[in-house]
Amino acid sequence: MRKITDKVITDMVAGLVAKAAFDLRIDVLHALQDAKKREKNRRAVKTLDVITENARVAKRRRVPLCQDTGMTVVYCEVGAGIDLRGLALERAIQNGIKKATRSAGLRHSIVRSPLQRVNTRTNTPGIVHFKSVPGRSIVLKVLLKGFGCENKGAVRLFNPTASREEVVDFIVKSIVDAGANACPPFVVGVGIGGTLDKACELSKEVLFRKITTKNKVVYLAAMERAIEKRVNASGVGPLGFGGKTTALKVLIAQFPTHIAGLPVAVNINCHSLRTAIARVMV
Amino acid sequence: MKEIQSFLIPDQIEHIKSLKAGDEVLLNGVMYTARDVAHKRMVETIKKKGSLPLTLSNSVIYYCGPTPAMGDSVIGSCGPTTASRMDEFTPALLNKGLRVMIGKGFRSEAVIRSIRRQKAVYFVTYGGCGAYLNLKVKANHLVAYPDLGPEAIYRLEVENFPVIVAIDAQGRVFC
Repeated sequence: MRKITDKVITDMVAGLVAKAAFDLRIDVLHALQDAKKREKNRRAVKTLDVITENARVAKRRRVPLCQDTGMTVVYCEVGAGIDLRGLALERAIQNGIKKATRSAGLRHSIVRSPLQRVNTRTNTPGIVHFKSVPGRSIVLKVLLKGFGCENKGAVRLFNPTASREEVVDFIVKSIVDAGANACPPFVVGVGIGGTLDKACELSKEVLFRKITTKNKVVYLAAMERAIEKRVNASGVGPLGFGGKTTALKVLIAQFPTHIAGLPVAVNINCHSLRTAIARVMV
Repeated sequence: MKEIQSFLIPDQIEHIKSLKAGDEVLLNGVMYTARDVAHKRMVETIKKKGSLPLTLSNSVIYYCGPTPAMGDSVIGSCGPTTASRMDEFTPALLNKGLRVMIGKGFRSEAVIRSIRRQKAVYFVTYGGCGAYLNLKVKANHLVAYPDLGPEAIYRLEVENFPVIVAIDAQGRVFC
């Protein structure tokens, strides 16, 4: 049996952060290439060319895809069968972010106090979520979230009697309003249900789904398609320069909620969706 | 298809008056990075009638906070940041002679009016393409506010830096 140490976790997180910063997800790259084939607008085609060329340059020259290397969000799924004695997981994860920031040359984008705004110069703290799962492995999932798109997120606490159409209208409006500021074409995460914070959490974590996967819930899959159709007819287009590709994919996750509410969170991610996942078997 | 124009900054800055919203342009020459806090500081200095760390007259400001240069490169990833966060500070800088801004996204009505009044221009470039734009930067020197790290003011020398006119000197808006 392998003994897991803080160093194993730190090195793994550092590797995942660097991978996310340099290597565009293959499903996103393919979606961008497919979108280019559908575009008739000359500027949209050129813009998608620049975006895919950027991914190529980033990978080859080890230059971050975007200068906003984001706030790091880490999801750590801990197998219930693992002996955690002697492990300081949170600290090991934060150290992994620090390590990648130094070795991969990420930007120092984090300030200590949101109102005093003093840069921590380590790119930490990142945000860490823990989950206990069955089994004997640790899964680490890393998301680098840039704030050009983060700033365009939206939450609304609907009445429980709101119609599906009202929810869809709100999501579509949030995406179209984000427009050029948030670097389309987007991958949009939507969280429906739970509490205010749960809806937001769902809207982030859903970004780890492959964008080619079909939603298992039939009516959510239909909602995703309806939203994609409407935002892509808006004319916003790649980087807001016009065209048919405003969202590559809308991903919806849901959770049970209270009889008195219907929270909906819309989390916009730019074309540079940067996630990476690894599993350590113990 | 319209030919892509190219001119020197700041030497041929008056060329901006002939540009139209939607035109594609390649810039060659010198631009200064500045974003949120650098803008706030410069405007505070202007209010106090202090001296600014750079000459704004006929200058070019790029809304950018790059990643650090690694190895023998001059700069890291260096794409544009969202311009609207600079809107509240922009008219004060335009009044001091700033002529060109480069960023991404929309601007306020007040900024559009100010651009028209000062015969300036707002360009957008490729958001989220900082690795691609890295290839267009040939030199990079720290100019002011080193305590701000990536948000400091840097002087960049660029070659064929691609931009699109988003707001022209007549106040016309593209996209």
